[in-house]
Amino acid sequence: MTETQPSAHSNGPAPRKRSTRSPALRRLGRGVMPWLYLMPALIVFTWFKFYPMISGFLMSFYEVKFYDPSVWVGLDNYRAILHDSALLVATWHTIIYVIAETIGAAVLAFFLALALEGPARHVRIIRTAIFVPAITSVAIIAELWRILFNSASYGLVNSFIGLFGIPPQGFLTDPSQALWVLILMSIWKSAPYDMVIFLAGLVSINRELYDAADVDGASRLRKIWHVTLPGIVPAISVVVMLSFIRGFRVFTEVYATTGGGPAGSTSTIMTQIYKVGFEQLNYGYAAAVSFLLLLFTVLMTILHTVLKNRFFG
Amino acid sequence: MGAVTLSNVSKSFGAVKVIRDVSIEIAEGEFCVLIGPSGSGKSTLLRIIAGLEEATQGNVFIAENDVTDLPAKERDIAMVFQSYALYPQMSVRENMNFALRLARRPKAEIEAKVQEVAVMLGLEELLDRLPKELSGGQRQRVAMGRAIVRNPSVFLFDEPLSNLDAKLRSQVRGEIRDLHQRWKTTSIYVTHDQVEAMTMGEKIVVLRDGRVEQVGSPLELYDFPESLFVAGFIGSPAINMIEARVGDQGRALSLAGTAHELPLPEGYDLQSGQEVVIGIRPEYIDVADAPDVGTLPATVHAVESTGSDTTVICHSDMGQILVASKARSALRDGDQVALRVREDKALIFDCATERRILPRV
Repeated sequence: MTETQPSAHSNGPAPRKRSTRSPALRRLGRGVMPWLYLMPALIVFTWFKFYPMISGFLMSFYEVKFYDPSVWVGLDNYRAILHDSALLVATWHTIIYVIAETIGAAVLAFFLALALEGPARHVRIIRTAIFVPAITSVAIIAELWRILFNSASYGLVNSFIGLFGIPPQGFLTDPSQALWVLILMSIWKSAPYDMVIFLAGLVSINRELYDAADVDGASRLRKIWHVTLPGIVPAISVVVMLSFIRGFRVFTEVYATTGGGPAGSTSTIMTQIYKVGFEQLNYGYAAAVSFLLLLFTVLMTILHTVLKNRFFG
Repeated sequence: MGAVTLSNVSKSFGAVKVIRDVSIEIAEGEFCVLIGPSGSGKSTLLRIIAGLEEATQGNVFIAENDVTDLPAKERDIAMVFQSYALYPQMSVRENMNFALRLARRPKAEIEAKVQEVAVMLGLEELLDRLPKELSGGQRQRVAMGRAIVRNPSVFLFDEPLSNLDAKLRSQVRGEIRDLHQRWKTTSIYVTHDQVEAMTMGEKIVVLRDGRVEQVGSPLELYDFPESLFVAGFIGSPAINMIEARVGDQGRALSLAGTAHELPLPEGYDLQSGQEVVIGIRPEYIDVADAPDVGTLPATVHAVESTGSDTTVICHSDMGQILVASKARSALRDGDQVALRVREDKALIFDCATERRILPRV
């Protein structure tokens, strides 16, 4: 009997070593192990994200004092938001910024992606070159744009338009133009990022659909409309969503170029929060606005997920 | 309706030549199958006919018009793709009438045509569904419907059955054949499946490395392959190939690696010592009751039966030999058997050129 056992084992799978732990201990191990792996990230996130978020949320119900105990004000900070005309203007600017930047960057990115798809080497080099703005520090980009759009007559853009007889423009110093120059800068910075998402979307389109459209007699424009665009709807939705979230939280781009000026013409929700919080030191109010912005962003994300699942799930 | 003629067509992608000087004539109303292994250029050739790929050299004629420089939409062709290529956002109806809408045909005519074809293919119930709501077989039918609606001069099929399961494949094969019987539209069908080629084609073009290896009817290719390649490619189970040398003053074939000989079939005029390959279809070899003069010894390696057909796989000194028959077999692995070859059915190929040696008669 004992002699036959090894040969039986050698035919089947290798015998498993029996665990000496009790089932209850094993279950506990299985429950705890994943958390142990997550622990480092959780500690960092708790300290730098979750704690400040909760702390900010609580702060929004207080009048924060630095040398005395803060005073509970209930929903006063939230009520004040309704009557804050400066915030209303900043919100309006933000909405214009978000819509114009999203559409501008997405359209530019789409045509860049169409022009630059394919495996050819020169195309790869151009694609990489075009991606550079997306990975350059906003502070550097802001400095470049300040030089480009210098309001003096010798400014680069002013010199160029001067060739066509157009007088020097104020650009970032002109309240009616500053927001649009800012939007242009953001489009320039975001388009390459969107382009990469579109390129990934284009790759997933079945090439035979283009052949079918060719045989059916579709023009180039029709092929874009009936094959390309429907094929990259998921990519479009990702681009729009990311652009919306990015846009509503825009801060660095504005702060590093105009600081919200001139005359508040480029103030956005985030620069307004910064101004109220860190310049006027009204932490409670700034926290309330921040919390509403967070809530709005989360709602947008949920809406996007629901829509995406309903139509493309 | 239109005949299709390819005249000295070549195609290169950079330095790689994928089609080399191909000339084919496909008569009006004919069902022609292009077959070959992967990389033989069959799909590229079909795309050149469709106008989706430009020929580097040569001309394409459809209905006697030179269409070499015309885009796909002006060639009056319709194509069924391997992936079906249905527009995912369009309903079945919109997919089917897309080409007619682009051609700005009257609405009533479009509606009537789509309805007619939908009834013919059993798609009436599905007209308002999206492609993703259809089964593979239904998508395949919509793809065919989209082609038929246009009433083209030529139908092009690019491996249209390769995404279907075996049962559905044979059903759709029959449907395509019936449709062709009914419409008699010139059809060019690309496949790598020789069963499809044999059962559907009126004319089969065998391609290899971008060249035409042989053109003929299915049975011509099966019975009289012009080369070792065609002999090996057409037929399942595959033809037996036995290397041999002409001996006995040109009267016998000495089988390589053995002391056995087969008498040389009548009508051949071969030099003594010439190296040849004997090709024998598995159904022309029988298992003899007992070893005898002229039988070859072999050992049974496996017996495969589909119920209706039985293939006995034997190992011998000449290599593997397949024996096919309609009768069930009682043989078992390891049995020693004697095989009798019907020499009159043997095909003889030149070892060096790989071309078939024709008998004098």
